[in-house]
Amino acid sequence: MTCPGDAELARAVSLGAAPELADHLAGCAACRDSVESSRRVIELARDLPVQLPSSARREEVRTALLAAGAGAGRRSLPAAWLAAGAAGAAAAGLVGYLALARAPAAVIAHRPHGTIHPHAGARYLTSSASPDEVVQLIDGTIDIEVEPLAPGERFRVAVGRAEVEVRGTAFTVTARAGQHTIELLEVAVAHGRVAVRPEVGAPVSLGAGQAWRAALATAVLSAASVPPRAVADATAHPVAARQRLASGPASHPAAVAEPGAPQRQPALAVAPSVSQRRPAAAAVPSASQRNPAPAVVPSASQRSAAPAAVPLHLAAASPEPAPAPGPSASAPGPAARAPEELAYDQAWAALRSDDFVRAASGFTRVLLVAPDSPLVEDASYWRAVALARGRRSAEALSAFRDFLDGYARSPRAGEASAMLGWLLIDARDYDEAARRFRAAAGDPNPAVRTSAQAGLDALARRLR
Amino acid sequence: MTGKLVPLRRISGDITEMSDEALLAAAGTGDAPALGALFDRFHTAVYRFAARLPMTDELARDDLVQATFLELRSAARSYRGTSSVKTWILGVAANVARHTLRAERRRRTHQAHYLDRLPDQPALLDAQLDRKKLLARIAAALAELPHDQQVAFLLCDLEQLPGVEVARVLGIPEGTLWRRLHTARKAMRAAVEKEAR
Repeated sequence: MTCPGDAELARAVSLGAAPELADHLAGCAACRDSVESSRRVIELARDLPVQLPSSARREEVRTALLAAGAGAGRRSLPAAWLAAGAAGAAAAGLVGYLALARAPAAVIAHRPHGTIHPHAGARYLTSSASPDEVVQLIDGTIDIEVEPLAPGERFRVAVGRAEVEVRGTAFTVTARAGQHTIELLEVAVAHGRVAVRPEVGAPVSLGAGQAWRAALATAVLSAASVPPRAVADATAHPVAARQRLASGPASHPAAVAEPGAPQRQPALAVAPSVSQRRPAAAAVPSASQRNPAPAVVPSASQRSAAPAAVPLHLAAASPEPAPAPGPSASAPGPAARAPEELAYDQAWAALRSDDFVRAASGFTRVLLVAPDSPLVEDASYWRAVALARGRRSAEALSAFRDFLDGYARSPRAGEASAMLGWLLIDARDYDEAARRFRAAAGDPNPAVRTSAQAGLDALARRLR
Repeated sequence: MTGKLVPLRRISGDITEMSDEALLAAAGTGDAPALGALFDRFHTAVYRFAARLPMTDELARDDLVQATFLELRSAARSYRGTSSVKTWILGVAANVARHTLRAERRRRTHQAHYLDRLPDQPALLDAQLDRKKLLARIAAALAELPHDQQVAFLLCDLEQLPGVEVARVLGIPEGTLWRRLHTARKAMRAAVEKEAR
């Protein structure tokens, strides 16, 4: 018998050799080796580790599947993919290619929309999945970032009998677990709009930079430096923000917006934590620093207080066992410090890890919790920086303007003016940009002056 | 605590006693409990299949699994009973994956080429490390296979599904399937032998 063909050999590996082939294999070392080594490889490949999902994750997928099945009717999936593929082809190039590769994700109608960043000691769980996501906050504080929701989708945070409902936004909710109750203490909105329905009192709608606090009987507070106009761009890039959180550090906005202006980042370097903060410390980095990395090394406690981005899941946030309403078991550490100090350090830790949404939210909290604190000046400045680095340009513009209005004599005024100038160039407000750069041109720090001059040069080129 | 109630339409009979085929037929009529039951029965196989494909992360795997089961609703009518429901569902998963893995494949291939260019490492003394390295090489070789060969290898050799059924659900002649398998195994062998040298 001559050596068998590929198909016959492959069949022999799977099903065993027919008598005639078995005779051939006995006498043909090459074919025998092919069959035997194939079997060895298959055995090895069967040992490849396979990571199966947790039961909680599996349940989420199952729930989403059934919800999608109930809500999506009999839509033809391949047809939807074809549409997505056509869109990707139209986009062309790499971006289109990537969009095509991700098309199925868009087809699946109901996925978690929220990313939760629990503060130390926070306890929460999700009690339902998309399209009606409900997060039950038991105790502590969580920052939440929610992608824009499609019609019919909801995202709510339940705290006892109170409820906070959102659309695309980022906000912070704080609760306190009592012996028999769970009390909603505070809601602070970084961007977007949030509806607060307290257990007692009328519902309240909050915009960016606003907060609701139980102690003030449902009053709406505005952050000192966050005027209502900051709401305008509130939901511009929530998806991008989520992607940044998922994929790690993002570059500085100025570094990608204007390739010809290497000196656009005048002021992003050292935000001191509360314990390291020096009055009037204008820590200005080199203006040529394209990807400013915070120089302050966080303490161990600060690191532990800055949890990584946690996708919406069914588990409790804290290392404690599964949460249950009842006596409070929150972590002891944070209670020992003033809330604004804790918020400041957490915000700064978030900023250092390029988590700009949480950083902005945290600095906003400082402004709300302790408007008379000496931390407010720095918090106002770093809030603006966090918004700028998070590419929330409209809000960053407002925040920088408010900082400069409120703290015109701040050692950081020059830095803020320069950064504001660059944001204004992007916003095509060249007149104000020129004013801001001129204001920064006299800053004592040469790096700030250089950045301001670069801004003026960029303006001159644009206006030519 | 309030949980989400997904509206379900009851099907007649005890769902746990229904055959795979009956569940598939019910799912094809839009019956959510039947779809849920199919998920319960076969999600592990689909997850395992997805986990062996070159995916980016858990979310991508979840998407593939979810898309596969969603696809069952519309594809159920095409089930002819010429294979087991498990084989058929994995065939659906393979078709779903075909559309989703292009970018990932390019990345993996690039990585594998990079791996090939690495200078030879000194022989590892630890047998366990040797084995890990070998498995990594096999995984890389599997990721490098063309999608058709990859699916054939996963379904026939790792999931141990009958070749004749796999050929049917993939819509190819049986001989084609065996040839794909042969080529896939040859590439995998080459990877192992390269490691052994």
